[in-house]
Amino acid sequence: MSSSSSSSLPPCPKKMITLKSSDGETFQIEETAALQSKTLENMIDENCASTPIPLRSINGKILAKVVEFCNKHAEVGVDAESLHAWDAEFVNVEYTTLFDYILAANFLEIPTLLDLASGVVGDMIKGKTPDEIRKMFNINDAFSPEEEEEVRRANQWAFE
Amino acid sequence: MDGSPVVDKAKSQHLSNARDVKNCKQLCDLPHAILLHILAFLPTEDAVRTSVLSRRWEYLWTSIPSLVFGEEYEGDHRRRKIFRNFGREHSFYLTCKVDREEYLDGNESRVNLWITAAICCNVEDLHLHLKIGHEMKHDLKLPSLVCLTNLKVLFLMEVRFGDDNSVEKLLSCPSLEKLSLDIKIHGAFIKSFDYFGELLYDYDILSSPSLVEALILCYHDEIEEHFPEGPYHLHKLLKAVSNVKELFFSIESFELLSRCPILKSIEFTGSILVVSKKDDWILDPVPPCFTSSLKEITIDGFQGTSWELLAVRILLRTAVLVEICINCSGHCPENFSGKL
Repeated sequence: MSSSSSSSLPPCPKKMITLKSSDGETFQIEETAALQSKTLENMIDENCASTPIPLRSINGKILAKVVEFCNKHAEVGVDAESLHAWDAEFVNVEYTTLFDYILAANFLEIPTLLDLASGVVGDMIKGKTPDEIRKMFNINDAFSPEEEEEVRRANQWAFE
Repeated sequence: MDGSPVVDKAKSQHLSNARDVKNCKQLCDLPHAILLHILAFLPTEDAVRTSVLSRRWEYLWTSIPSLVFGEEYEGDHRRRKIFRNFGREHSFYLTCKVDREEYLDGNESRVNLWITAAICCNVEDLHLHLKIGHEMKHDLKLPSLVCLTNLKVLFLMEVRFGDDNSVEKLLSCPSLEKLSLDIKIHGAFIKSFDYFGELLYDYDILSSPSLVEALILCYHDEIEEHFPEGPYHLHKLLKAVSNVKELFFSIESFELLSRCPILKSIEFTGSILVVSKKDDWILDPVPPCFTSSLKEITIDGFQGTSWELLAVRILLRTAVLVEICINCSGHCPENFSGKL
């Protein structure tokens, strides 16, 4: 595919597709960048991408970020280290936003984004006590102390 | 990905799985598959610890595709390693090498709990290697309230079991096809049985009708002299495998073959020697399989000594329908001119 930085030849017209968020915002994304999403790739293959694609489960705020992520990861000539730093900054957000990224990445089938965000949530859980995790993620349906003790005993080795 | 026309199906599945992004404010709002995906990024212990978070989380970790645990001790520095592997096969590898007594305390319970954890994950392939000094001095207690319906192959090396019903239960897995160990066995579908040992213990094996292959290797040359109970233990082993069609056997006494009336083939390794008590060089009693079912005798490592030749002559004379296959060892003289 052509890239703007390559030569003095006139650049080919970029193929764009349009995505429409649940709250009606539209976003243009280059087809090359959109191919990171298997869901979009399938639609492109099936020629279903000529009209704006409605994404009813993703709101404008999140879709903007997802498009930004895909654009960044489609850029050529980005070294791994700086991309890594960019990724770290990208997921340095509230955990509720992370969940939104995860769901969007799952829906659009973007494995890089799904793994990135899931890994961060995993890191948030790592090394925390159950109480800390419950508090952090607002888990309310906890066991009674007796029940918890029983579950703990069943998997004792993991708590040593 | 593969460009196949399953887009609509894939799409609709995804739509139904995904919740409305706007409303996802809690970890528990994430679909099951995504929670598992997150757990997959955690070290095993952290993943297991999520079991106490809430009812929804209690068994979630058990669906992680594969858990691989390992523990390593290096000198005085105790290091634990936990490996994970997300292959499609359900496998569980546990290698526990401990060579100093003081590390033993508490390890049994951890090992047992790991096995329980693996069983909770419907383990299909269990590799358990516990090496503690020269001998494992504690009993390995396996979880009792499980039935390993999927387990097909079980290798237990250097593990000694206590008198525990759960062991029996573990080894009665309905799918078990191959088993290598030395304890009580009641596996109705076991097809192959291997024994390597010194006949020091009593082995209680219920004869299995599906058993077709047995390998029995005894280490001691002079069992009768030093281990008075050895022949009795061997007798019990042979009785248990008396239905087999193939027996790979290394022990000196032919008399024991009389316990295998439908044997088809025998393989000898190392030298073969027939000792006759009355010096008449007649096998008495003749094992019944020698005159009926026995079709093939293989002798490996044949050296062409006069004793071996004598043994072969006796076998040829005694066994009626037999074909003898002799593989010479490097010590066998090339111009060996032994006359059978």
